Amino acid sequence: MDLAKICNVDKNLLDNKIKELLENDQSFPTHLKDQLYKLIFSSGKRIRPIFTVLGSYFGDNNKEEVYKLAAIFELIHTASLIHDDIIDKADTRRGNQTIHTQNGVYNALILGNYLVALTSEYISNYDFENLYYNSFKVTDLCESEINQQSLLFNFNITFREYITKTKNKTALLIAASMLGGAKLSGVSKRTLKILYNYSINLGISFQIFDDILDFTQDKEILGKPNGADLMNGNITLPVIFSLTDKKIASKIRLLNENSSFEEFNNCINCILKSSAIEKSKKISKKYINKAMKAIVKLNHPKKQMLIDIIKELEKRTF
Amino acid sequence: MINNKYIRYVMDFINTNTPVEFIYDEIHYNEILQRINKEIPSIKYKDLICACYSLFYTSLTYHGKACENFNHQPYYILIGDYIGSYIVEILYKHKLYYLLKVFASESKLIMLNLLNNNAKDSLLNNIIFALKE
Repeated sequence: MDLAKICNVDKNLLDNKIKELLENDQSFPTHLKDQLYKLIFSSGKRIRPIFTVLGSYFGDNNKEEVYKLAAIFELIHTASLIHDDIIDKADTRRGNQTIHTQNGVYNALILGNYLVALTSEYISNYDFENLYYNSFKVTDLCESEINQQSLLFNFNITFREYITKTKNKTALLIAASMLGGAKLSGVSKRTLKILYNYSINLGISFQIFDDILDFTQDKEILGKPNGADLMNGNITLPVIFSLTDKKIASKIRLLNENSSFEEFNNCINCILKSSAIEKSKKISKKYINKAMKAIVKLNHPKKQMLIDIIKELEKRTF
Repeated sequence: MINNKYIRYVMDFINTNTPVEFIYDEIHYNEILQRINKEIPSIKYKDLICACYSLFYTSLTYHGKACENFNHQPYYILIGDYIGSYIVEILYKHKLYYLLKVFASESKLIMLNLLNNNAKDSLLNNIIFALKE
């Protein structure tokens, strides 16, 4: 899946903009910069910056400015990854040692804070006060993450709670990235609303599919064991559907943070054999359909790009 | 008893949604309050500015605690992040963009200094300077 190609995103320019943002502070310790470069440039899907560039196509975009904003969104995402890796106790990401395993928890936290401050500094220079907080509040994301902690190994989580969590965790930042590029390019309010509905639904679908892949994808590609979300106590849609199957629900409900690898594996195999994966795919498809419906009334030459992304995601899913 | 509505909001959120205690940084709160009362007593949004300054250090304290207390480590990290974003949010909501710039650039420098084992911190002086302008 190459969304950058579909959206004609100039990856070199994007990477250069990310580097420019990180090169401005002379006192930034070299070893941390090297590690950060590895984390950002070793791989990564660049979903958020791609959506910033995509949003800009619906107005009169200034390429340099749009790519700078796109780079800012990638750095916001990077900051959240650094903190998430500590919370998830992850030793590796994208084939590299995580920042906290190399520098300790405190320095990793401060590095994440530095990136947030750096991006806030740039965003505060933009002359559109409503960009950031009308479409997206970082506090929503943080609140959602805090609430998620209380839902770990909570097998009573409802479908609605899962969707809200998914929206706050992933879809809102994707929508904010798209609206950021669109607003910067002077897109009309009506089109902004359409793009919001499109990206928020696509974001939800995207996260649901990532949650499915956590069970189904080859662990070598995933870079972590299958079912890692469940092992961390994170109850995702395939688990929620599995809990409706009486035969395996009782086994799953016994899992907790002290369960053995074999106990987790046993449940993961049961989930894979159940209808939960197919049901989850249907829900993912439902949100793709909602994204498609959102753009029905959009009349713009670049609309086809939005459709092509949906088709590409559908290929990935079904 | 904390009299500041912004700090109370954060305290209530933490007390309701997490198992860890709220940490009130009274020293930093009084530090900025005294400077404001002495140098620019008639300034608007005094409560909000004092809250942001004090909460900034509360956020750092929570991140520091994340390295000492592994039981509640995720909460300490996420609360630190939550408070940082709350500061940005209330400054935006009140259209205090000039202060947002000060907070963003000064906190960036503080983080850089911390990464270089340097305790230099000009946040208070720069807030007062910005308020006087």
